[in-house]
Amino acid sequence: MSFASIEFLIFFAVVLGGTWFIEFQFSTRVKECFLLLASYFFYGYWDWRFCFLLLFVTVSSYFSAKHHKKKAVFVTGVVVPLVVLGFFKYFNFFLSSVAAVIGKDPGALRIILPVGISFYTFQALSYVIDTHREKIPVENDFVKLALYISFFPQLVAGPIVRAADFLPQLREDRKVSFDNIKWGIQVFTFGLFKKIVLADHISVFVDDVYSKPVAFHWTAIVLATVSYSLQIYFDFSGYSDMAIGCAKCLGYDFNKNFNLPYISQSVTEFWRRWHISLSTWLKEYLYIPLGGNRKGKARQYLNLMITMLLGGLWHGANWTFVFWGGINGLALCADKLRHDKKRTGVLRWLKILATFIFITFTWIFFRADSFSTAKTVLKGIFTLQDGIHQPFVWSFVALAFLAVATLAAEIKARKAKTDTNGYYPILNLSKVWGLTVFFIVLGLIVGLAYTGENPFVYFQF
Amino acid sequence: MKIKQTAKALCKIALSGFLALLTLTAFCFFYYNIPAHQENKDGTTDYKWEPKVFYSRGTEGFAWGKTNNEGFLNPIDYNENTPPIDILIMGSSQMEAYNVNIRDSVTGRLGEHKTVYNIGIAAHDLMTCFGNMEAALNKYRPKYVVLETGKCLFTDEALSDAVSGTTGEIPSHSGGLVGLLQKNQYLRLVYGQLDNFMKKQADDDGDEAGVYSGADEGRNNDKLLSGLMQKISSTAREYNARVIILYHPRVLLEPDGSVKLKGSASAVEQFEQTCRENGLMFLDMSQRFTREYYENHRLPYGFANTSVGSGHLNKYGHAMIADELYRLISETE
Repeated sequence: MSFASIEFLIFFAVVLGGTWFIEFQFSTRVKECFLLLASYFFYGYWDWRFCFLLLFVTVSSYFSAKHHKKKAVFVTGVVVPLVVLGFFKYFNFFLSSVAAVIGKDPGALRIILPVGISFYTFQALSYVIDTHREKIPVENDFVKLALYISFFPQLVAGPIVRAADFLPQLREDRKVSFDNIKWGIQVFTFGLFKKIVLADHISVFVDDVYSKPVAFHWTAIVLATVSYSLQIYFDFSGYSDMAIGCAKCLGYDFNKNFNLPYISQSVTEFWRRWHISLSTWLKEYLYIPLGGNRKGKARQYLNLMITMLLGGLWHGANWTFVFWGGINGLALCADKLRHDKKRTGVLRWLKILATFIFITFTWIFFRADSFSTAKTVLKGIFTLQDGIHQPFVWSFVALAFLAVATLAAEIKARKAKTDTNGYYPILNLSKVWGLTVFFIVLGLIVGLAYTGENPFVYFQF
Repeated sequence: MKIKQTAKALCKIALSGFLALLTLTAFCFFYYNIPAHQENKDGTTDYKWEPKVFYSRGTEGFAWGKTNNEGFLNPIDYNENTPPIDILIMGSSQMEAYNVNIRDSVTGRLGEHKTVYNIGIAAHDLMTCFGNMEAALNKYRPKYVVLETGKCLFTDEALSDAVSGTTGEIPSHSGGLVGLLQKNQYLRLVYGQLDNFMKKQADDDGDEAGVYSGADEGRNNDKLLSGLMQKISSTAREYNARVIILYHPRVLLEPDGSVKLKGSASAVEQFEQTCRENGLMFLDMSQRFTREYYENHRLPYGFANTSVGSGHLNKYGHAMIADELYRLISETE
């Protein structure tokens, strides 16, 4: 059940109405159980068997956190989610990689990748590690912990919500309110627009070019690559907005997951603005435990590389993702070496452009299904290949949308004399003009939406 | 007090909804403005568009213009001052060509050399056109009539209906609620979206009345096809017109950069042979489409806002067809 589907809208309306009704009539406990059941229903809609896997990871995290002072139990609590993730996501990948080295036919187990496994295992890990570090208290209430790990808005594609951020909200008596719904529904709609109007239309062109790169003119390949930068941003940030909006309607807050990443002046800044919940997770639970920058320069670079290589692998069981992580890691090391300062004026825009070009280049390896496709794409560009021209209009529409959003954020930041940050254009729905604009946006979504099947890019991770 | 507040909130919602619908309709005037269909009583087509109205299309390609006095997409009106028609074009939405501007369509391009009149209209596949041909020849008296098709393989039932003249009529939906809804462009766009969505859900490959594709293998029933062609031929002779059956196959782009033509090659061959035997001309665009791709990297279908190589004929596709039709007619003359 994707957020951008009629089934989800019906499901969400029922859950929202049910939660509101329960808050009036029953205790918080009933509400938590209801949300937990709804979350498992949401997850089981894909494949009910994986609900048991989710439950297994939750039970494991619950007991290992409870007895985290015993080292063996704590280690088990960390290893179990990693083994689950490793088996379902990486088993065939490692098998085929080893077989390729020794030159044998690997065979393969028919393993279905459970949707969202990379996200909920990371959430479970954050809880176990944080309790062990005594950053958060042990959660004795199993329902609360299970709801934290399985809460449907963030279950299948993030944002990766940390226990320290979410469990305290469950302990408060958060309610469904009209104000929250007004805010949440607008953020959801904003995300829906990004996903089904912009990202999905662009995906048609990107898929065309990346499935037959030899057929296209080099300018079309360049445009498709730039378009993919836009597609993945609108797709994933759109999904995050929808998750944030859904949670808000139910009374819960998620942190921002994207903050205008394409106005970054360096790769380091990009990773502070892109998929913030993952970057923060990798920093706190991988980079810092590895030693961070506390053990000298050489070790810091090594730690950065390890973090980014594993971050790349987290995205998918393919060497192209590892390579993508690797080149991002190298760029981060280069940033650390240069100690380049933030610029203003024309230099700032040049640095933004250079970073965008570099990031777009790295997306080639992220999008291509193999090194061979990536090579064909690069060859097409650098040999100025002749072929089909396709000045795809939706790419320019998306670019214009991004430019306007960035300009609005820039003007706002200048007025407030702060850094440029993304924000949600929230309308006052109590006024006629606010409602009219909101209805127009809804109408545009219905009228302009791409009507084909197109799952969220990050579902595969 | 509470009732008053609720009533006020409902009024606000209704007013906002109305204002939003007005704005969206204004937007659609330029983005997706398809005139309503009307019944065509003269039988040359099953329906036509409203005459003399502005239309625009931004969902597949970008085009705009005005329908002529009969409700077809033509650079000329049809009246007593119209010069004798050299070429009458009949066919589906591919010939209707509301995805390209009229000057870029087959009609517009051929119109530079000949007097051409286009009555192509959505959903009119070859069998429907056969059914309407006599009425069209009787009314327009052209020297040539072009019947467009995207496939050459038909079911026995379709052929048999065409032979017996019982091909079903396509309703115009100009009356009732649907007719009323057709008048609001935004609602029409939403209907189109919903229709596309349902088709995709049903795993439909997007064919419009079987216009685009056909099965990759198989042949038509020889007897029925011959019977149909004989009928077409004798009707054409009666009106002193020559029939050109225009076949434009779907071109599929392969991962290795080559192109493949969709459709049954043996059915195309059979169609061509049966046409020849009955004195009908058959124009197969297969070679021209393939050559144009390998020489100039141009595909006949698809637009800058849709998937490459799929959907309706683009301006290059129309130009290729116009070229080939002109060449064929010039050679014949």
